[in-house]
Amino acid sequence: MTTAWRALERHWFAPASLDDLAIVRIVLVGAQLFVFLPSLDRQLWLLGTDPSLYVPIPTLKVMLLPFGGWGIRPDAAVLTALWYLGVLTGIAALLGTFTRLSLLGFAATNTLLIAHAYSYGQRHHPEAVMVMALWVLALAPVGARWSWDEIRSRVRASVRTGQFAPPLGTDAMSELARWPLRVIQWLLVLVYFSAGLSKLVSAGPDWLNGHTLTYYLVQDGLNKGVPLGLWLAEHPMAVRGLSVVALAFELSFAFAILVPRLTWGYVALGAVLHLGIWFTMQANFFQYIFVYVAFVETLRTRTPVRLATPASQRHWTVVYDGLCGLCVRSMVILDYLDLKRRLRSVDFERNWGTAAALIPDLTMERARHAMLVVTPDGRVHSGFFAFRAVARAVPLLWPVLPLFYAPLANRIGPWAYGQIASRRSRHVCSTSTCCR
Amino acid sequence: MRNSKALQKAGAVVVSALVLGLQLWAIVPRGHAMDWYWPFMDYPMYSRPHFAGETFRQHDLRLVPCRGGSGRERVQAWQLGVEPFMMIGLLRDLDTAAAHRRLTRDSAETLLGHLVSNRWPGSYCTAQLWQRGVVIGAPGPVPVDPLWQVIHTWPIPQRPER
Repeated sequence: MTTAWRALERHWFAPASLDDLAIVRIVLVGAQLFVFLPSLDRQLWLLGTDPSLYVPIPTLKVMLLPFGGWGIRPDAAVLTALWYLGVLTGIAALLGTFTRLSLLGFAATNTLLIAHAYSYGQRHHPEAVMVMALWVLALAPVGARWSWDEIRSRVRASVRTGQFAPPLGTDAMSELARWPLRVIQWLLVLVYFSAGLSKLVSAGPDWLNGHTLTYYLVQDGLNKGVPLGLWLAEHPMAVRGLSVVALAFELSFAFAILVPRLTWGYVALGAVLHLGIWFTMQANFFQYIFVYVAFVETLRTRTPVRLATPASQRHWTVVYDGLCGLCVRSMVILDYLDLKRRLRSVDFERNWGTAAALIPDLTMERARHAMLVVTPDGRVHSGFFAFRAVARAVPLLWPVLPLFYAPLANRIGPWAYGQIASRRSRHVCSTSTCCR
Repeated sequence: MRNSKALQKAGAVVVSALVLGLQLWAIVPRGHAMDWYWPFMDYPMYSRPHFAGETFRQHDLRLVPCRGGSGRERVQAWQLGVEPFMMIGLLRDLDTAAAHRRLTRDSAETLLGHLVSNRWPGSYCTAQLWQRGVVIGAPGPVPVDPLWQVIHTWPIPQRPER
């Protein structure tokens, strides 16, 4: 009993990477925001349909309660406002600003808009798992990494301690990072199992006779005008083989979780099946391909091809003023953007010896005047040029490089840097207790 | 701190059990669709069996203008303000009812007539159900554009003048 309980606890609560959870948030929110967000035009078009067709589903009735009562039909103003709220909360959730709150808002608005679309007699399947995944993520620590919330909390900690806070590291783990991924994974298992079970209950072995899938290929081929589906319908052996593969995949998807070495195979096969279903039947289940990101940990740790290159030993060392709030904030953000960990930092106020060893002719006055960067080949850059050297080392800053190398940048850049630097404040200690 | 973590874990257990439990409840086979409680729903699409020799039938709604003439206009679902799948279902019901002379024909006929007369008052007086079919498992290539034929005609009730 204890062993089973421990195994169960490990399955749901073994420490997992907060980075993985953040990746899932970014992929799912990004996909829902940019690809699958319900169209406002269609929402408004639905309002123009015959009132006799409006049969609100319970989810919609519950969610519309605050807007006027049980079973009401929303008006254009409410739907438009909710749609814009969905976009705003989606952007905030993607960037990780007030992540939980914004993700809750994003999940709620999407649920309401989709439930509204499904209150006119027809309900479809593609969005359900994605919507449930968004709700589950909203209750998890998805904003702990790769979020504005994280930058803000690190800046706050740095300002509070008066020091550039050490980075969280790429291996930040949490006992609460695994369960949301497990819920999404098991949801996929239940959904696929339901599809397979329905086939067994309705058709039994007849579902594998080839004619069943042929019928559906002809049905969607003619109804939706898909020549590829009609072409496939002419190949009975291929159709029979595909029937077997599809049913086996649906009924056995749990192995994608239970046997991690099979995860890549299931995810790849699932993606191919969904793409194939689109090309031959135009049934759009692309959400599922995105939802597979819930297997990110297994996909990352058991990748069949090693893509990672050895970490570079070349480092750029930033010599900064640890008593200047703006400098500390800048270091936090630079450190955050430095995915390849190419930057090293030296607070010359606290580690003068290290700074002086790096730059032999360094004076305290020069160090306090502007940020300094020592490149891997030993060259020293100062102020604007130091910042430009850092931008070259950090790929996420490459988009601003054209600006830094534009005509007149060599004149305007140092001037702008000087303007900002001259206005920064320094927290100079008057007692020995505030500087450690 | 320890208590807070335990509380958070307990919350996670409750949420996980609720979400997966509701989904599990929705997928239990019952003989009828379980999509009313969306997003918790079953996935029975494409599950009914079909056999060689069976005919897939595709339907079309066409309207005859009141002004006369031989022109018949095809109507798409969006023009009537209904979902494409709903339109397919209505036309299939109409075909089945017409074939078996069942009463349900009346409801599909009435609803479609109501939608047409609401959308284009006084423009169309007759509706026609057209059909084309493909025999499953028949040798040779699947026809990409089989011939259409009219299988049922009914009058569209006109809305009273205001």
